[in-house]
Amino acid sequence: MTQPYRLAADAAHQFGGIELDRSKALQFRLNGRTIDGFAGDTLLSAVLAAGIDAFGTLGIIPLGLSESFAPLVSAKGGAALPMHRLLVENGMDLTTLGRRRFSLRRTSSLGHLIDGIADAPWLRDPPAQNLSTELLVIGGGVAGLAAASAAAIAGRNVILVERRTWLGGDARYFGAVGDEESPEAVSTALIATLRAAPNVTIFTTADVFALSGRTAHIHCIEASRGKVLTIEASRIVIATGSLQRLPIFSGNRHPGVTSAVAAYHLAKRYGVAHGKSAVVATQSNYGYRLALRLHDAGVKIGRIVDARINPQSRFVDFAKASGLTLTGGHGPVSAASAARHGLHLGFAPTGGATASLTLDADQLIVSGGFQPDLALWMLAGGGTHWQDGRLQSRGQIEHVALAGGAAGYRSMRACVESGKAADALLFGGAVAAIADAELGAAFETPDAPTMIGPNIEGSPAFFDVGASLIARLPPSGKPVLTGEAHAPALGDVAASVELGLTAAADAGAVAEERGAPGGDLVASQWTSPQRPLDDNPLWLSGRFGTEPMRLHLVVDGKRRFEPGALVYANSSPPDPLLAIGVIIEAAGNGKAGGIALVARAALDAGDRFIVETLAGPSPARIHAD
Amino acid sequence: MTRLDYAIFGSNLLSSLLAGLLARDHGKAVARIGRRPSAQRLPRAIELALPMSIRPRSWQMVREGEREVGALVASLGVPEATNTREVLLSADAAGSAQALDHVAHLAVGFGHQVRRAGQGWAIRRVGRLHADELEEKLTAWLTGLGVVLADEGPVEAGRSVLADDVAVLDQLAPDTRPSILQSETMTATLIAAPRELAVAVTRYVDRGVTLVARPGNTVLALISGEHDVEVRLASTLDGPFPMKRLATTRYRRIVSADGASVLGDVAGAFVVAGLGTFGPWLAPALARHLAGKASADDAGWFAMHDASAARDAVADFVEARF
Repeated sequence: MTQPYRLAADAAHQFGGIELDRSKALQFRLNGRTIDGFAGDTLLSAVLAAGIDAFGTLGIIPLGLSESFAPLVSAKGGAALPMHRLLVENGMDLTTLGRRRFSLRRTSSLGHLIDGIADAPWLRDPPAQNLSTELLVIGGGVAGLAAASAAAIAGRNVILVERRTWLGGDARYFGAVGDEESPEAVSTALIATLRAAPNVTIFTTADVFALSGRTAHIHCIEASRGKVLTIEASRIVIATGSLQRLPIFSGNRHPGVTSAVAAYHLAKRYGVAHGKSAVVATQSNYGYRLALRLHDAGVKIGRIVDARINPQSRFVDFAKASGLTLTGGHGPVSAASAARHGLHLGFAPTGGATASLTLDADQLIVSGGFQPDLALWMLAGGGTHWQDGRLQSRGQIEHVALAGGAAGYRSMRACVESGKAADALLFGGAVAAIADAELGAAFETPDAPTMIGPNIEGSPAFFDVGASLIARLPPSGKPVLTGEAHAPALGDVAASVELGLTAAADAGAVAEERGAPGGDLVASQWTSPQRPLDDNPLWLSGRFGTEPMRLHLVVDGKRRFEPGALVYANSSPPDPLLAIGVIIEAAGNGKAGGIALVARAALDAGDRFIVETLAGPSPARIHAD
Repeated sequence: MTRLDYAIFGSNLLSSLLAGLLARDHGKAVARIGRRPSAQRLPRAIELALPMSIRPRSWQMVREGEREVGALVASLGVPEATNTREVLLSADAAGSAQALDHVAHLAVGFGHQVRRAGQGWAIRRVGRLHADELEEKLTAWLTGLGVVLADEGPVEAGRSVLADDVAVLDQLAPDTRPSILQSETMTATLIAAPRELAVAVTRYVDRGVTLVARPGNTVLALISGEHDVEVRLASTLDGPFPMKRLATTRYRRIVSADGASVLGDVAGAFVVAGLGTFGPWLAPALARHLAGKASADDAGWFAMHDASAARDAVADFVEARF
């Protein structure tokens, strides 16, 4: 079976993969291994479908492969490209970049020896193309689509860039609420509007990696080749959405542990589910929705474990009606490889330290909270602060507006409205107030705080899903974000607040310090301003009386006294407080001895001195000249 | 509530030590007011028992403070909070090199070993305190002494002490500050270094840059001034370039116009400013001075550092400002 993690093509809820053309099977090679896939697969989705779920090991800790954490790849002689943005083609021959352990066995790991993630090489590439536009919209979710659509309808030139290979964002994960129009319908209509507009250009697989002033630097992939382009924009909408946080427990980045949003997109877009069975650990109602859909698509849901006690939600009711087993008031405390296959999972009562429930499954889907993705906002100069359990934007930037999840909105309706409002704000239109109430929210149990398990020796809990790899240290240790060579992400900062390592009042500043670190330092030939030697510098004023004598002291015809050496009376101990003078400069013309400033009063006691040089004390006398 | 004798405004190590010593050694009722930034923030200062001074009395004050503060820190049971490191002082200009020659010889006079390093000097075994490591035990110590700890004031106290730059900037409006107190922009930035720095701390006195080796092959740079920040910083680094920055913050600090510390009453509060890196080690002497228990010599030293005193006799080396 070459694609063990691929769901059936006709799986319920389109979990056969809406990006795939199953009629076009393809094969490619990765690290010499032949892998099957379908047209529409990204390299990452095809690799995961093939059952390869591990990036490698950090020391002895196995780490899972995900959109947020995967090695770069290259074709022979080609440039490095990211796995999640590269669409695979038949016959590709690719290699992952980085140190790997050689293995003859077909394993479920890419075998990397992880010692940190190198920066993407394109970060410093010169742009291959420079574009300009009236409005740049970053993010192709419903907020970004709405902002671009509003601007396009108003006749403005618009460029929309989206990191993923498809548009629509995460709205589909949350689904429609009540009679509200479905996210599919909303995004499909907006996309159709934009595709038909002559004044709109859309880039997918395009990642904005720098934002300075009005210029965005973007890496995109066209025909399996990467290129950097810059876009000069009069106005910019940042609609980068929200990032799903990782609950903090031992083994939270073990292969097979997947965030709910990532699991949803893998199934919906690419027909990939990590094995035949899953346990869902959730702190919100949407975890139930995903569990139900996976269940309908043929994945055995072993249990839904909720951090909340007796949660109320329509999704909970649906799950019960579907016969799924639910456990409330528990959170994950450990995930590790099971004895033979899959994962062995431990759960404890919320806030408890000892696992009272153990389960085995092929995968653990964790449905954590959300953090607005403000990375580009901070690069643009925006601020952040901690509010309502997450980092939210602070301040304003004249030519930049936030929209959607990045602006803190939660409901799809508010995200769409905020996209339109962002356009209005930037171009001087009327900005309507935005209501962010989710339909039916009054009858639903609110989300629980981030699930935090006990600190277990030898099995680290990572703060976030990305490349910073900041982990909770053993119980005695305290990780310090400034000690890491990789900048902490917003999720790392949020986790550090929740773990009590960062004061909530400092969280915004911590995020800003790391979110806008400034550009790279380049070689500099800067030279200091001149500060000439001073015969009588201010820093010696009064030290040896009001009118010290300037004397040439010598001991013999050869020895020189270095500047700074203290001068003592002949019988004085070498206590700097008792010094009567100091060598202020070398004697001129290569002469022996040195020029000293000496207290006048000291001369009454004699004309023999001790100069305390670094080589030891030396007798000295006043030179005859 | 007991009437307070002293309100110490500040959140740095000196503020805590001063508050505790006033309570423990002098029986005073003390509050320390100021919220200490989280350890996850970029450090804005380092604590080194190294006066950049050509005045032997200042050296003596710090060396004496080293013994007293060392004993106190040892009693708190946080051995990792203190160590000694080599500190490199680097000069480009002849006049600065001249001043560093004097600093190095004073360091020798007060018991350090030194070695020549280009136009500057490396000072060996310089005492260093790590405020973050001390924080927990120090807080417990203060609490045990009955020191009132508050994030913000106001409080009623017999005497207010502005013990760190934030307190001075917050509580002394620019038009009430004597001209000897100057506000200076600072930048702290964390750099991913390809290799470890050879020396724990390097101070470039003509470039306004201090480099501090940090864990994980990172370097903390503290850069004074508003101009040419990046190019001055880059000029202190070996490369290879480009070098990635991981974090940056800007803030303000107080320096004195003549390079000497400012210790005395300003606008109704006792101001402690311009101490550079050696503030914590001045805490015992400062506590005695505030409690009226200073020796005649120490009292004279403090009097000479008053903002309104004729300060020629204490004027010190002034690093380049940008």
